Amino acid sequence: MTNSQFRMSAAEAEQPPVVTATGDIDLANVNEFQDVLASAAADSDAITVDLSDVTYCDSAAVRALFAVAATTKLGLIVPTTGPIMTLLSISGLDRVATVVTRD
Amino acid sequence: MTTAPGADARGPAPLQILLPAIPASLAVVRSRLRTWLPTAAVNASTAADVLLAVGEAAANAVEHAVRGAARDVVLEVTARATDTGLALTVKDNGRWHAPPPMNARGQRGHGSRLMSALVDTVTITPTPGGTTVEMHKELHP
Repeated sequence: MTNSQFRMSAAEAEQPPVVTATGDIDLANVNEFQDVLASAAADSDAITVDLSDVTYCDSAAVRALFAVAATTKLGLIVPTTGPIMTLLSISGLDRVATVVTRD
Repeated sequence: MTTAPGADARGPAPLQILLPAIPASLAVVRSRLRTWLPTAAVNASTAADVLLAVGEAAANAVEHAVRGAARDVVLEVTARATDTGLALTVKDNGRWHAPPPMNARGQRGHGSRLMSALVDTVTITPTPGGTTVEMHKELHP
């Protein structure tokens, strides 16, 4: 599944599929985000979600990520700056996902 | 405290935003705040914290409105400079519903803890006529 803001690249060479999100994620578009996550997780027991170009996300995105983490091994790539690490640690998402940072 | 270009000695003009409490309004609130925060001499890192704290409160207001349903609900966001930082309010006139119970993974009910981690004080006042969230962010120029 592909759209302008949430893109999925297929699994290849032992690597899980990667969902790359960009821009702002909020209540207005979190359902699309969740659909792409579910699609990626449907065929794989692990996925990576690259949030390094996400300019805003809040608890809505966290809920979508928790939902996919319930059934799938979740890896997150997050920006080194911004409050996203606060969001992950307060919500506890950093304890159910493997988190790496990237500029 | 330094003043940004366009700000007078008392700081920038206060910001007031009134919008329908619907998901599409959240992007408008962020856009307005992204423009306003630099006029209050707020750096990028602090602005991102404020954007998330206000965004989280505004998203809660939209969710109250969805669950209230019976009438049009208005989301009001204000921001103003104080002597020591920023005063921020997020109000809705939707019906108050208790937060959904936290499930086993704890992904619900952390919104107020998140706000408290991002700004210095958070006061949430739920009433039958709506909810007001007042926040203050200290600035350390």
